Amino acid sequence: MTEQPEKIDQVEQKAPTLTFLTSDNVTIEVERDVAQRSLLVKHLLEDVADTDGSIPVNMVNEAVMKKVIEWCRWHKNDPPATGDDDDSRRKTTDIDEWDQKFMQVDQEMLFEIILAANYLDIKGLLDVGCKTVANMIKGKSPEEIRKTFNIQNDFTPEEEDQIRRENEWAEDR
Amino acid sequence: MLRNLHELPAELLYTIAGFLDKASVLSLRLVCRKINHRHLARPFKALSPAVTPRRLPHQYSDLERLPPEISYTVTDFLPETDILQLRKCSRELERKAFQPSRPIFARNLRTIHTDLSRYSLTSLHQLAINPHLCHIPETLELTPQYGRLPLKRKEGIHRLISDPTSIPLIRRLKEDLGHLLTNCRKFQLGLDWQTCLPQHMDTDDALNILLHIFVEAEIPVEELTLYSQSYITPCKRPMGSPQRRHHISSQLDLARAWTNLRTLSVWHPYVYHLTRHLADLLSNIIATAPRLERLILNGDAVALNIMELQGAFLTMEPLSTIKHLEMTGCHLHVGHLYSWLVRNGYGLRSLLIDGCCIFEEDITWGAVIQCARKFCPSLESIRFRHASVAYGVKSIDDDGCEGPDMASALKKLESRMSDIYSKWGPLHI
Repeated sequence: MTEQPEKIDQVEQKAPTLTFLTSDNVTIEVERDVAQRSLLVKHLLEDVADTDGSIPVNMVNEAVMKKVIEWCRWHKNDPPATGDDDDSRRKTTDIDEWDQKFMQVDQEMLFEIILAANYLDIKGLLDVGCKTVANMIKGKSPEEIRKTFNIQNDFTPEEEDQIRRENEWAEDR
Repeated sequence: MLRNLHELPAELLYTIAGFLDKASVLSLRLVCRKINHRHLARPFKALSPAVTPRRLPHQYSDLERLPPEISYTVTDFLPETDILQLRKCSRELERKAFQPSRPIFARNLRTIHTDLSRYSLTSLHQLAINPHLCHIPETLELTPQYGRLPLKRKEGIHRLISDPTSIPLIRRLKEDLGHLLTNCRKFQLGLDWQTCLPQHMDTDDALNILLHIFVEAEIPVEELTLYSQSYITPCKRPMGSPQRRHHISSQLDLARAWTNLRTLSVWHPYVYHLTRHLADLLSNIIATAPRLERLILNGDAVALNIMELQGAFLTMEPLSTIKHLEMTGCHLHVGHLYSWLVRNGYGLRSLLIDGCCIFEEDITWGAVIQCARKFCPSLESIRFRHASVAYGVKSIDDDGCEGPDMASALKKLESRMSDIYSKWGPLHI
């Protein structure tokens, strides 16, 4: 985490930049190659050659956008996702050290980052977010999951019994 | 300054109790002696059951609020047990985790099982009335609790044998199979080795139940597999003259049970009397099933009692055109097979010989290939796996041929087979 501010400060001043307008009306300037980790932005730039004005990101606020940019900047040289690695990607929930530290945020921020990654179409970040949530669920009982995510148990006893029976069918064989 | 609930003015406490349901009022009384005394002096009036307290709007958590596509991504990273646990958390998560858990259900419920006990039949019924899962089962495996019945059940079992679907649980199974478990069209029946005794539940009774269900519910059975449930050493096998079983043969309209039957398999009929009984039954099926395509006989390679069953399999004239014949673990009577191929080979597409040896002396697998060349014009595949050439030691691991030019492929296979025999000695040529 200590390296993150340094990395943000290392913005290449002369590199071409893009400006984003967040949902809370804050403009954020980002290097073009960093911003292009987002497939939404990349495709937008391919379709529209000149983007003089700022790009509105209505679904993302300043704090979340800054976190997303921080992730994109760190991963800007990663090979782009091809889609072929889907199966191997799904087999493991291992997260590299930097990403683990990056995801050490409160739950509200974690889910905001996941939603932003989905909106901006940043597959790598979306996967890291979903893996983090999956790791928080793994090995827990329903009661522990409820406690972790502050979920209200709204089942009637009959419904609960039905789900338990269905799960038995799936588990017993 | 008020510090505790019991310090509240009495009227306020009565007002609060007025908003509580009966169970909560009881809890309130148990808070302390003082509150309970208040109730004893003037009972708290709980909320009338007719008045439904206004439910607070459900507060969804961040996890529940995730769009379905992201929820699916999260569940992609979860092992199956955790996906099932997630279903138990809340209605919303149950809804979202159901789709990812479908493959788990599809895999585990494809074959369902009953031992005809009350518990398993009730569980089966609950599955049948589950609208999300009732379409999954394809195979019903029946392994009844064979053996001596307690005296008090004798009366019941006699009724069951004569009219099984009059028993409520069996009738419900029939209705479930007929109307709700509509994809369950394959049946496997575990056979019993016991000799036929009046106070025993045996294979004949189980078959009787199954066939009554098939006929009465007009279930289009596609696959029937009969197998022994456990291995019995030769010395323990009952070899005396068995009582003639009559329930199955007395069943009228037996042929109606398999009008749609495509595959008939028999596995390991270890016991002589069972083999004989099955020989009668299988002859009946083969001769009356109009759509039968696949015949599979998996024998008990240790003993010769399969021979009678082979006879039933290979000498009975099938009503339909058999496309696939598979003989596994048999002392194969090549004479029977040869004459079967002569009579029925015209429609045969594939022949598999697996783990077999030849019963007759001085006959080789080459004779089978030769016969296939002559009488099986539609043959697309022939395969020999672990087919014994000489007793005990030598076998063909895996050889065969398939493809468009079967005539020349069969010729080459025959020549390869001939080489094998000439290499391994003149004894079996």
